[in-house]
Amino acid sequence: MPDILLKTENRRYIRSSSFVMALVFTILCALAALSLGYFIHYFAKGHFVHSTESFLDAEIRYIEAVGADQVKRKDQLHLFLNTDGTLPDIIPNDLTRLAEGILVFDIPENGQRYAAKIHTLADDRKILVGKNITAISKDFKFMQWLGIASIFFVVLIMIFAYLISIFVVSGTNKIAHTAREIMDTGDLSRRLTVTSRWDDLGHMSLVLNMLLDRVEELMHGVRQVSDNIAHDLRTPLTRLQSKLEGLKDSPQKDELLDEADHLLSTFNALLRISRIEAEQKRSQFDDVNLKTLLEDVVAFYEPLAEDENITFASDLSEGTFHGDRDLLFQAFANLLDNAVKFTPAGGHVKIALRHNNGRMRIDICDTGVGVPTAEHDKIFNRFYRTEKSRSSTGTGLGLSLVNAVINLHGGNLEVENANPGLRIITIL
Amino acid sequence: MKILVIEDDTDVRTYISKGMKEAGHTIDTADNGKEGLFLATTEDYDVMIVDRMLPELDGLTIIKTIRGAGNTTPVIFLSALGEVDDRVTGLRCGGDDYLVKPFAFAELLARIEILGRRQDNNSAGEQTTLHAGDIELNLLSRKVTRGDQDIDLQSREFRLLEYIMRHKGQIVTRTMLLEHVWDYHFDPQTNVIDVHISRLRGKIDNGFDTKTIRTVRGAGYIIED
Repeated sequence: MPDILLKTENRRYIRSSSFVMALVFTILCALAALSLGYFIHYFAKGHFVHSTESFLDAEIRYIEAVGADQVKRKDQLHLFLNTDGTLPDIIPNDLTRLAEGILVFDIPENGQRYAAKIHTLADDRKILVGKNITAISKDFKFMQWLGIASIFFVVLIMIFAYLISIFVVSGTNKIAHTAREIMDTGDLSRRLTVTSRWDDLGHMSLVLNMLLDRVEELMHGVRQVSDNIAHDLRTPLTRLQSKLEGLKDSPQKDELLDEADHLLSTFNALLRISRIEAEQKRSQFDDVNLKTLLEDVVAFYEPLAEDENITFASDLSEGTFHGDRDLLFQAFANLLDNAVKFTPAGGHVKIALRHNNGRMRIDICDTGVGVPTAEHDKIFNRFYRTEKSRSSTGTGLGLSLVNAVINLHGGNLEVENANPGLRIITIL
Repeated sequence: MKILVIEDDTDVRTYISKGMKEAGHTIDTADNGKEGLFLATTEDYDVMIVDRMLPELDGLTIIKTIRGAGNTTPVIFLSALGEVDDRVTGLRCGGDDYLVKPFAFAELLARIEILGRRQDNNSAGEQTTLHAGDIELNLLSRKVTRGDQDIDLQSREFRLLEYIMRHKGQIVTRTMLLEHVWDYHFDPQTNVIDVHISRLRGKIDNGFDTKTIRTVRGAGYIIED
């Protein structure tokens, strides 16, 4: 699970949900602007061309009816072409076409723009009939500017969307980072930094900080309770033990003492696990030579294994690790203890230490009774015992303690069937 | 020995003082830190047993104060806290030993006697050979002989025997052996120590009539002349 968290924690901006959403909105926005713009452009231009053409045609019909020399109108242009068919001198040479047969030009003298059509009169003279379109073409220009401005706004929206996604993602990344640190160090006094109360993430940080206050308070309560249990229950247990020791020697006394010892060791183990899990203390961490440590554990259990006719085989590489020496010894001692306990006479226990992708991998593999695959996840639970081990001695807490210690060191435990037997893999 | 017990729990205090008196020691008691500090600075004790958590003044402060004044009386801390961390803090503050509640009285007594004896040994100087009955252990040549017979021991077995012989006539507990011979603070789930002891016994008692290392029920082991 920690691996998944690590991967998603520092999300790249482009992959963030807010960025993707912003991108989708921008695209939709741009499409809407484009289709609307195109529609307006097409419609307006079509209408303009059509109305200009029909106006000019009506004017030509009027000229034909009335006589070309009689008509004089404001805002219009009636010019006869030269006899050789060329345009009069007043018309500039840079002509554009609005549509088939309609010319557009500016007259430099009055600074007006005209759209015009050339018509051949009944007397074979050619006349150019023009309409002043200065005002309408200014409007058209303005519409073009609006189009450019809307493109500019779409670009602005995209930039803002990107900035917003950076803001949101860096904010959530910061929160995730702090949360991760709190999980790793177990330092519940840490709080998220609240930059402003204005944005939603700031508000969320405030609420999460309140949650952390509450969690810290509860954890403190749990610790208080376990300390109280330690203080209040261990003392009467000690007294019970001492009173038992004071009894006259008898087989019953030994039985009672064994019971008391068992009760005390279960109790101590339980308390110890809770404390390791609750406190996450790393003040005792130092560089530990794992090879030496494992050799010591093996040497410690070797006589016991020999008595049970079990052989040890160790294959240890050099390796140092930053951790708590006593706790690590305890963890591996418990693992080896279990391996010896559940391996029948004549069996083997293999211990290997290897480097694995920059981490340390410790395999402890036995040829014992094994654990059904369905129960592999459960063996680290407190008081969990397999059917086969229920009859054996022990508190049912050995592997829970191993789990607590390995978690404290940021490691993982994996269980595999070794057919026959069990392989427990510790990754540190 | 004259022993001071500073402990706020009445039951534990009477339990310790009753047992110590039966074992032939003289006991002074204090039920709070202030009174304890007063006794510790005005009287002369061989060993002090101090609880970590006390009303008025906690155990660590008491020891820091008397150590600051040049008092070197051995101190054993008692604590319900009892994790490695607390042990290290306790020892760093000038404690000589550390015991977690609940403890077997035998464990406390064994540790007290060793702490008290250490004061005497300091003046006696460093020994080079240890004797127990007809066993001789040479610390320089690292050889062990019984009678006129050489005994071949592995280094861990040698250290085990050395530790037991250094405390001849005193009970050494399993926890003490783990701490001093193996140098790890932990709880073995099964009694592996017994297996190591029986191997050691097998080597040194082989061919001899008298058993050397005795098991004391509920406490530990002892070697005597």
